[in-house]
Amino acid sequence: MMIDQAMAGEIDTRFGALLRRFRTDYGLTQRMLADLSTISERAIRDLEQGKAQPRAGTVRLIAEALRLGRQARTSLERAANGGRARLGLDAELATPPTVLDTMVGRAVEAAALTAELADGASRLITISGLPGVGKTRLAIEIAHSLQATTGMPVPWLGATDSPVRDRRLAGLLHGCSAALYGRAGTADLAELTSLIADRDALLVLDGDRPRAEPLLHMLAECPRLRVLITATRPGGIVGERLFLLNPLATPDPDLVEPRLLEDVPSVRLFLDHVHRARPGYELTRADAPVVAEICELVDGLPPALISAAAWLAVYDLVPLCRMLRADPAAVVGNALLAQLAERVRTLPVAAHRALATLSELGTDFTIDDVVTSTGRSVADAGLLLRQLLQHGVIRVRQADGQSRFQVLALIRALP
Amino acid sequence: MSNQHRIGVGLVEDDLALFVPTDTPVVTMLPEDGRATHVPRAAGWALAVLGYGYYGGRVILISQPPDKSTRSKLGECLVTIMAVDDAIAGGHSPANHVGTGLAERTLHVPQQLNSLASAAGLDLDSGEEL
Repeated sequence: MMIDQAMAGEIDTRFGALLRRFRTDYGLTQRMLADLSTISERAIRDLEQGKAQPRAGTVRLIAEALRLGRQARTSLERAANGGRARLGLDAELATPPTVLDTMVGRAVEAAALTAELADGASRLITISGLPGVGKTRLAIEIAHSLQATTGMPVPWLGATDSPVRDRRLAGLLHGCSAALYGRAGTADLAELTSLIADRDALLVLDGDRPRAEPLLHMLAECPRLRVLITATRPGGIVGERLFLLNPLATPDPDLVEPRLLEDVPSVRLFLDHVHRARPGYELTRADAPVVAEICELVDGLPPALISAAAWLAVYDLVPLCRMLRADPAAVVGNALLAQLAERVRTLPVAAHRALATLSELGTDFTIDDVVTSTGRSVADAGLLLRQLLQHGVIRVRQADGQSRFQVLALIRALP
Repeated sequence: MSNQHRIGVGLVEDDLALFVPTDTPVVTMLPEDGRATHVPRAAGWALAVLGYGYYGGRVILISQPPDKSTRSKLGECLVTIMAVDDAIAGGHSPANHVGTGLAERTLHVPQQLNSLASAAGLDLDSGEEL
């Protein structure tokens, strides 16, 4: 039987009274409803007496236990929400930002993270990396992919324009942002938690690390919630999975075959934008070493690659490469270098000093070189290298059977 | 992450690879083989694309073809990334599947296979590396 059929005329919009009416219409005792809904008898009594505020998950359990029809269910939800229509958190309303370009060179990373989030192997992932490395772009790709395959809503909080298509939901997310990043009250977070309850959802926090305590509380309350954070700073929240996003891979110095060079992600992005400055351009064997060096000089950082490619509307490849060697700021812009400088400034003092020492070692170095130049033990040198890698200021390359490290060229170029 | 419970296993036909992760971000290989530089490069690639580029580890490669000259470099790369993936996913246990499927995804998506080949210094179109 559907209670919808029995509903007629004016109904009491107070949640407790409505719940009691639905229950008694079915001829159920509080105990019987407790058994059917898995909610405790005491909780049902408190709800009917108006002593407790119903959560979205509780309302859903009751509605399912009573097998309420659409109209009755909406009435119950509306009553639980103080008489207002219930705020929705559908995939149609909560979506990631729209992008118009194609992501280059991150297919493997996107597939790996999407798989981890889809099966719930990791529920709290932080993508960390240098400014401009592509953290937000990767998060958007993952969110779209996950939403397309699972239909889960993606509430997105961040520096980019809010893609939320509902004014009330946007307001709620704004309040959640204030609570997660500042000291605002957590009422909005509680409402979002209640909306998500035990549904699959991906919450994206784009741009900075939130406060740990309210976030962990949400994860505890919503067992199928996944959280994806993008941040320039690594680590900090217990249980989080830190995903270090490296700059795009740069080519080996001896790679001159255009066909192979075009498969290297940094070269692919560079050429993608070269074609905008010079339509019809084709990579030749003669240009290959210069293109490889340009990608190397900007460390495979996407905004630097794009800036360099844009200059080809004015300069040829060789003068551009010469300019990059002499004055990277003139090509990649001061804004990016300022962000990198800020990143270096936030390093712990000892790591900052070691970075200066390692910058003087030349183009690349091994762990043994670190031991020799800094006077550290092998174990301490390993920890130092790991710390510098996590902050994104050095990179590692496997060459000649050895792990060789390199301070990023743009970091070395900082004043 | 480095403990013996996280030893990863990769197995493709005759190629068996083990990966023992370390906190020190240096990748080494056993047995040392100056001609097999593609193996540590593949391990480094797998660590990087899985977001763990700040870890290192030791690859132990056990290939058992009758004639070593018939070894497939691409096969060795795939079995290596499978072992890294398995270690990252929590380490090998008989009850678990191997890894998260990085090797399968890489093998079946041309773009991903090119990315691995490029990182490992292999030319897939030449045929001689396969």
